[in-house]
This record gives sequence, structure tokens and C-alpha cells, in this order.
Amino acid sequence: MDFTILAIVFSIYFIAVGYVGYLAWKRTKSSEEFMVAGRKTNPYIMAISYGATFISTAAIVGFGGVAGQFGLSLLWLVFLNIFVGIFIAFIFFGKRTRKMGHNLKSLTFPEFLSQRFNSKFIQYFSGGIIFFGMPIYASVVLIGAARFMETSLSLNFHVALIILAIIVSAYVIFGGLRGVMYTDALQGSIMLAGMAFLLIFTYWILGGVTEAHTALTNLAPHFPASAQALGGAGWTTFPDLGSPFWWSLVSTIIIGVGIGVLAQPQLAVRFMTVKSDKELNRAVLIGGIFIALIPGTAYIVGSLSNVYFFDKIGQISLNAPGVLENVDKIIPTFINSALPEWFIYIFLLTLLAAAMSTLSSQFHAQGTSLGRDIYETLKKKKNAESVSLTRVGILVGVAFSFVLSLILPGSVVAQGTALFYGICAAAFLSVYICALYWKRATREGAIAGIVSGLGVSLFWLIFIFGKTAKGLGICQFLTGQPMLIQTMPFSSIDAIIIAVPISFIFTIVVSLLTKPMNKEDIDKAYKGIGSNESKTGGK
Amino acid sequence: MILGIPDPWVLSGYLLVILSTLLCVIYGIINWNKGDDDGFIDEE
Repeated sequence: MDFTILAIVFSIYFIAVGYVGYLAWKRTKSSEEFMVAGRKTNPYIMAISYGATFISTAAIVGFGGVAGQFGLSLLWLVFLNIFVGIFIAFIFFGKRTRKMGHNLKSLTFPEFLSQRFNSKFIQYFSGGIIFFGMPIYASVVLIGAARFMETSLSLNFHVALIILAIIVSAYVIFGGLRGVMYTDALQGSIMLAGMAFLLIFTYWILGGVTEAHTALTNLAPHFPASAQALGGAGWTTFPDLGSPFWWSLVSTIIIGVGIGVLAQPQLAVRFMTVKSDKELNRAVLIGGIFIALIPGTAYIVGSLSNVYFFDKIGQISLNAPGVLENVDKIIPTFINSALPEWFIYIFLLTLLAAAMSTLSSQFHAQGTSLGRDIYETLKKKKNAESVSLTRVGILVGVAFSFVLSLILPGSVVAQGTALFYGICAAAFLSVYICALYWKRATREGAIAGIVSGLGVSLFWLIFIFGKTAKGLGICQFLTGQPMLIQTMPFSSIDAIIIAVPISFIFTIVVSLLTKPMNKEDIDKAYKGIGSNESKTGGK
Repeated sequence: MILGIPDPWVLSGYLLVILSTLLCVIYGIINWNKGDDDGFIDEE
């Protein structure tokens, strides 16, 4: 690879990102513009930004590598990402969130919940969950991108981390959500082009779709022993029912990431950035294609890399030189070995774009949580200095994430994302659904739902769920055992499966036991929604 | 064996990705110009 060409490609990219960020900065003055991009975003920008935020480098490199180890059963996750993460999310959550967010004049996701339930506690408590939880996810995204730069550019890992953190925080701090979404649209377009080429090229070098899959099926006798021990049988076979891998696949990945996406604050806030339902309808089309092409390609190519390496060197991906059993290196190694040289530049740009588009929203969400949701709510000074406080919040959030990415253990890329999605789903999903669809839900019910969801999910992640309990080591420290229940399947069941239903029960039961909310508040939130829906809507 | 994938669970995952994408595309086309007139976001 020629570093001069790479330097030119990167320079053009950074100039483009800088220019787009500058345009956004010029158009960002008020706190509404800084936090919800002025509520008039184009549907293409909204959909691509949503998708590019949703899909990070970790989803391409991390999960793509996991697919290289375990196979095509991971495509269920892509299906859920499209069906739940786009179709259900935009139509059943997006449309109501947009209207209600406008009725209540909310600028952040915690503010939306807080104003719907008329509770300041919800705003700063939810802001706290985001501010302290998000760095786990953000640092995983930083690590994913920095690892790829390390592999391809022979760059020092820490230098790569610093470069990424500085560039992204610059345009988030100046451009706010508009800066985030404009740059996302540019970055998402690069991702679309890069991944579409990768998919077509991979099928082409392996002789076609059916031929490539058949070759992968025939490789089953070489399926890695590490994956077999957990219940896998081949790259085109679903894992054995009830095996650790089956539980892990079904609960952590499919439910954790597939369904957890509905309660992601940095995604939900995007519904409040468009003008009408028309934009959301159009965004469904664009978002669906985006999600199918980006993670879909990563998982298919990750799995098929086994066929390529076996043909060339008689080894499966996990044992290929350069991979050495590190699943995070499967995709980069495949790209470096199998694709034409010019594509390596494009792909590096694709991954950089994927990381930056996710990071920018994470930093923005952290900043608004600290500035708007926590500080301003506790100080009781709304709107006074929202934008500058949020900018300080972003800086603090970036620093927090950066430090975490230095100390997190190496092989956490695939787990960290699921972890954050799980905590968010546990804390917010039930309350978010009730906020949108259940007028009888009360403030006390919402608080009980958020607190119980968070409490149960944290307990489960620290003391029961094997991967996280062992990784965190808190259970070992307190009890002398890696987790409280050693028997299967408890140690393989993700927190979301336990915590979300419990949070729902708390929300519903406590709501029914407490006094209904004031009718005027409910009517204000639901203006133009459901039975009141009218063509004229209302000022 | 359809598409070279013998396992019905894995095959259905593959096909569901394609079908759900088509669902989004068709929904978007049918509703391309709908939802514009609810008049919700007006200048304050």
C-alpha cells in the first residue's frame, strides 16, 4: 500500500468532512439547532445518519469477525436490525416520538421522557445513565477503528486513538447535531458504496452466490474446535438448540442488539429532527437498504472469508496468518489479502467513516446528557447556556471514553456494544413504549420502570451473565466466585431478557397503583396523535 | 439445497434479510408523498 495515495485520499475526506461540518456550524445558533438540528432535516440525511450511527466499525470488524468464526446464523441479527431497527422503529416509534417531542418541545431523549411524565428526576437520572453508560460503547467504537488503523497503516494504536478523538469532537462541538448528521450523511454514503462493492466482489471471486455458500457448507469439517465446543456445527448451520453458543446468539446478539436498538437515546433523538411523517416514510426505504447492505455485507463476507483462505492457503480464517485466532483481525486480513489494492484505501475510509459517524452521535448524546439533562436540570436554569454547557459536556465525555479505551481489555469489541444496548433497553424500553402508547402510565410508574430496569440489568451483568461478570471481576472480588449461578443456561442469558420484562411489570403495576396523570398534560403530549389525529394538527 | 445453504434456520435468516429490505422499499414507495399534511411543525 502506498502511503502517499492514502494520505491524499484521507486529506480529501477530511477536507470534505471539515467543509460539511463548517456548513453545519454556520447554520447552528440556537439550542434547538444544536440539539435537534432545527427539526427540518432532509429524509436522506436523517435515514443515512440513523443507519451510520447505528452501524459502527465494531459492527463491521467485530461482528464480521464473529461471523468468520461462527457463520451465517448471524444474519438473523441483520434481519432484526432492518425489521425492528428500521421498519418498526420509524413507523411505530418514530412518528409518535416526532409529534410528541414537538408538542413537549423536547430537545433530548431524557427530556422527552421527563416532560412526558412531568418529572425532573427522570431527566437527570436518564441523563446519568447515558453519560456514564455511553463511554463503554464509545470506547469500543474507538478501539475498533484504532485497531483497523493499526493493522492497515502500521500506526501506533494510541496515536490512532488520539487522532480519531480529536477530529470527531471538533465537529461535534462546533456543529452540534446538524454537524453530526451532515457528516454522517457523507460518511454513510461512503460506507454504502464501499460495502456494496465488497459484497459484489467477494461473491464474484468465489464464483457466485450459490457456489460461494456451497463451498462454505462443504468446509464444515474444518469448523473451528473453539466454536464446536460451544455448540456450533458449521458456518451454514444454526447452533445446537440450548448450547452455550445458541443462548449467546439468540439472547445477547439477536435480542440485545436487534431489539435493544429501539431504546437507543442517540437514535431516538433523530426522530425529532424531521418536519413531518413524510420524511419518516421516505427514510424507511433508505434506512432499510442501508442496514441490509452494511452489516449484511460484513457478516456474509466474514463467513465467506473462510472459503477464500481455505482455497488459497488451506487454512480457515481464524488460523490465517495475520489473524492468529483474533476474530477482530479476520475482516481486515481478508481485505488486505483478497481485494484489489485501491479498495484497501476505500475500505479504510469506509471504516473510518463508520467509526466517526457513530462516535459523533455518542459524543453528542453524552454532551447533551451532561449539559442539558444533568447540569441544567439540577441547577434549574433551562436554556440559559445550553449550547456552551453541552460543548463542555462533549469534551468531558470524549475524555472519559478515551481513558476507557486505554484500559478496556483487548477482546471486548463484540461484547461492549451489546452491553450498552442491553442497559439502555432495560432502563428505557418499557417506559418509552408506555410514554408513546399508554396514557394511563404515571410518573411513579415510569420512575419505577427506569430504576428497576437499570438495577436488574446491572445486577445481572455484574453477577450472573458469564461474559460480563468474568470480564468485570466484581463478583469474583466480592464473593470469590466468577458468577453467582454457575449452572447453564443462566450464565449465557443476556440481561435484557430478564431486565426488560421486570421493568415492564414495574412500570405497569406502579402506574396502576398510583393516581393517573393530569388530563391536560396528557392531552398536550398526545395532541395530533391517535384518536385526536387531524389533518390540520395544530399550532 | 437452496442458495447453497442446507440449514432451514440459516437459509430463512438470509431470505428474511432480503424480504425485510423489500418491505422497507415498498413501504417507502407507497407512502412517498403521504404524511406531509399533518401540519405539525410550523414556525413557532
